Amino acid sequence: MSKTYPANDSAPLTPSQLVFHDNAAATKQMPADLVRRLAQRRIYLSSADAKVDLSAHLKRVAGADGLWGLDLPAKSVVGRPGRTAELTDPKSMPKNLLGKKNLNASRPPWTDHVFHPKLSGLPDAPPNLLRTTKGA
Amino acid sequence: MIRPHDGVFGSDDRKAYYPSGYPWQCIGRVFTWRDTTPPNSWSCYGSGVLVGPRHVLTASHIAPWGSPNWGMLFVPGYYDGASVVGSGANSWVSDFRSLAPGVDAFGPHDMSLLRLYDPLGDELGYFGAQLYDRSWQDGNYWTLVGYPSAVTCERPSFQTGIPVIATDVDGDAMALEHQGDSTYGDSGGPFFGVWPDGFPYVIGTDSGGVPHEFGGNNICAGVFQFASKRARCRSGPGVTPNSSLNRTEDLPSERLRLRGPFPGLRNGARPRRAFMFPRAGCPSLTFMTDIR
Repeated sequence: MSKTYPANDSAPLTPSQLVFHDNAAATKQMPADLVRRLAQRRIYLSSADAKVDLSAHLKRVAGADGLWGLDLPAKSVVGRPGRTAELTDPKSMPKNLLGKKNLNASRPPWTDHVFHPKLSGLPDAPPNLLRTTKGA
Repeated sequence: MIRPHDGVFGSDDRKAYYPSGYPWQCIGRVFTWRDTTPPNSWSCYGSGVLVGPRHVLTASHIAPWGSPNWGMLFVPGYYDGASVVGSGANSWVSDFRSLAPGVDAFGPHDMSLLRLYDPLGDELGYFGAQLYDRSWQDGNYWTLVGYPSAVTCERPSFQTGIPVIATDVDGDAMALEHQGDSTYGDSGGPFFGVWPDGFPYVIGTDSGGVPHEFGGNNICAGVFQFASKRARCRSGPGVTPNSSLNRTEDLPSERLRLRGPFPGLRNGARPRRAFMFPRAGCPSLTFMTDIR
């Protein structure tokens, strides 16, 4: 599983120092169930009525193969609403964490460690369909 | 006076990149709905970074304060419409905690921690967090990442080698001033360095910029240890290092009185919980234990 690494108080690396760090490949394969979960699209439907059965609203669209439609009930939301939004409570901080100056980072063994990301440039521009009379 | 963003210093040095691998896949785009009921689309967006198993650090001013029907979606490694990790690599936000409420929370308190429904940090990894140390001032250690529309909001972009040129302590929080390029969409993006152990540690989150007439630097809300509410100190050019105002380390821990008004809360209500950093605690630490 994931390994955490303690932070240290020395200075961070400058770009001139970081350039000597090579990217490191993952040492394990990502678990199959995780691969499946991350590749699987999910759509959440939320309703103000906790007892509503949305599966009853899913219908095959007549005359179109493989097409389904969903008549959403009133006050339903595509997405997963948030629950709480608050200012922090300092009393909730355990005493054993007082005085800590850092929190650890974590890299799962199934991810590559990339120090130097590949530059992508901007998204490819769509071809310009409008032209002047001179062809430019 | 701090505005959402003051812009670019000289030529724009941000470069778009492909966010594959650790730690780049841990940074993503945050979409905010102030009202999720139809036909509303997302209200605003910003940037964020995984700093725990299911925790994302971002800016407070993109959080949907005051809405009973809010929603937030975090997409790590967002690139051209989806995550590079996979189309299922995203999570809705279950809860958030902020240092300051409202959309006007620019500056040192402009920090929120989001709790995700899904433990993306366990799956993709996460950044560490580190209190800023003034001995690092003027060192070109830092990288800023975000999704600024001025570059492209569809791909992340980064700038490295940014020094912190001044710090500004305001009671319980610290602003990290720099002249890295930062514009709309960068908000909430991580300001971080890589330590000799090879791991990235966030020292702040992108907030905004001071207008040029007041100095013109861009601002990150710094991960900072508690100082007295009386303390307002500043380091940087023209500031005496040994000024009594700079001796935050010697100040006693004390409760921070809440300041109003609270624009994100309805009917003049006060926040349900008080906010204070215990001395030598750091915001992320407090957040994470609070909503884990």
